[in-house]
Amino acid sequence: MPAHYDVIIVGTGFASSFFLMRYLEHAAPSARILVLERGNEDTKAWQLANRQHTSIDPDDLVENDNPGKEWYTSPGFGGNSKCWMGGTTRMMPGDFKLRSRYGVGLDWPISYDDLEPHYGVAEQAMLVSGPADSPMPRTRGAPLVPHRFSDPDALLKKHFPDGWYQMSTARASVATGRRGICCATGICGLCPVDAKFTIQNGLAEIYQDPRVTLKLRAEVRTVETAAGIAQAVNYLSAKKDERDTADLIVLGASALFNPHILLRSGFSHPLIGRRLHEQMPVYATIDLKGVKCYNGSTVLTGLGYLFYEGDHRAEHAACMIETWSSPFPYRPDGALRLERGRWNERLMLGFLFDDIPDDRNRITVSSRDPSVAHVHFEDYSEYAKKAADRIPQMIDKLAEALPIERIVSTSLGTTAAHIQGTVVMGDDPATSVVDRYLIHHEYRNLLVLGASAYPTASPAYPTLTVSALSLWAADHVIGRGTA
Amino acid sequence: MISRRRLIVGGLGAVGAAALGAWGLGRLGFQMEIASILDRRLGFLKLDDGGVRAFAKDQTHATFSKKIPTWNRLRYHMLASGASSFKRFYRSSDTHSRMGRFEDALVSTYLLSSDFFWNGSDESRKVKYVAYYDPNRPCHNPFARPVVDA
Repeated sequence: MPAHYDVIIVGTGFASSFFLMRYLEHAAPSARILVLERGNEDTKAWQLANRQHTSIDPDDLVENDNPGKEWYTSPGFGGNSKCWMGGTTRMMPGDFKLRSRYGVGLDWPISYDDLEPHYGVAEQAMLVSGPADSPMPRTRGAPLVPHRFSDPDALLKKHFPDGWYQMSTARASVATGRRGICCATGICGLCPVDAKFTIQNGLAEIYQDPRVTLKLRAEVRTVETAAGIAQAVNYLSAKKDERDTADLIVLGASALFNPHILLRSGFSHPLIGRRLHEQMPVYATIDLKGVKCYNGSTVLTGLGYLFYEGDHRAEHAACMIETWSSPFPYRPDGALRLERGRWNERLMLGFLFDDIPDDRNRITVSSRDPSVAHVHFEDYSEYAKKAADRIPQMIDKLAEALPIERIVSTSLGTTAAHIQGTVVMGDDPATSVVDRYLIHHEYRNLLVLGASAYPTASPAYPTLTVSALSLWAADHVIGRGTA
Repeated sequence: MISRRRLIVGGLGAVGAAALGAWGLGRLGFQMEIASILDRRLGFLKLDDGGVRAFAKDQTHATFSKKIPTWNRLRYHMLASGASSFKRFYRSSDTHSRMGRFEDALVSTYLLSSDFFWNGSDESRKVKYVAYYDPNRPCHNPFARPVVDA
């Protein structure tokens, strides 16, 4: 006999957990919520002992057509919160209005102002560290004091006071009671001092709530629909086929697996799975004269907004620059400058460009194994590449503040680890799959949360927006949101 | 007359011994090469000879005991090495040779495994090997400064 729940939630990452957090605040004491997680518990102790953030090989879940592009994900309790680096930038107001402001891409159906209060709540829940000033309007400051700049950051801030900021991050700058202080170890995917916010160290208690039943190792196969309603979830648990029903079904299984589940379920909107994208990441290693690097208090210390908002977005992508502040030799070109007396006069910068989503980049169900998502990625857009071509000019601009000796190398990263698109949001059911509240246009008791809803990318890290969107959607579902 | 069985067993034993010897010599050769690279690249520092030998041994052990990647990873790397996507943006514009990168990584690992940076990069002091650099060791960034100075 299938069990009946008020809500079934699929996934335990940021999208699902922030939705659940807000939902529980207002749910009746008798509410019954089932949460299905494909992976294992993978506690922090297990992760450290085994030196990996997930006990399931993510490569077993994804068939990748393009070997030049990796798709970084972490199955298991807490999802990608286990392996993320803790970047918590907000999107800029212009990111939501690309089409109407700059004539390219698409507008989001919501604005920065719609999400602003939810950004603040998510930052509080994650105990984000951030600067006192900010490139975007905000009604509340970051809860924790900012991390310390590295020396090149300080020079950049002095020269570009409105263009350079301390990192906004969920890597703690002071002890929080649950998390240690980030000390720039440089291996955030497996942080040895548990300094970054994760679902495991920050929101695990919502899964202890007596109204919540969490099932691990539950692989969701399909969402069953009938008469315009999402009725049940079919899943494999302990090698048995299970089927449970619910009044509300919430998918929060990532931009790889939300469309995969919908496609396996027979949903037929032509955009499901399409417009897969993430930022185009390019890294530059630069030698400086007499300026010591890697001496901030966290692994990424500064954020550059000099090439972000502006009319150039009509022609090419916006760019957010990040300063790396860890000397460990995990980059191909080596972080230490192996010259006598100049060991840390080497700066590493990341340039993140937004991409215009392309229908050809997509997720399908693998014909080899239907439990596997098949990823087809052709290429980044010319819009993003055109902006990346401008990196030498950008570095010239930075040279106004920094004594740059030479560019050692530039390299395209294989992943930004920010998977987006594939179940896009919008007001028109013909051109989007879910509405502005992430509710499926046709099945009104089905929500599809997470970065899969993003109509376009932004150079900003997506996680804070994912979390704010879940709070926004939950508010609407429980009747607290704006109409 | 040697029996056929003895011949096979003896032959296998000889091959095994040769393989073991080659493996041992290979490791020893690798260790010597590491010590020679450190000597060449960091000759201007006062390196502690015992520490260099210990590092070479630990580095060799780390290299030879690397986890075998999964089939998926191997396949990915094989495919990625021949990928021609993103033509305008090759993986790196770094002109360093593979050997050059290997040496850089090795020298960096040695320095991070030593007390050199913790002693303010003081070239007049003897550089002592502390422990093989482990990226998972907490707070092991010698350049990092806390949010507020103590």
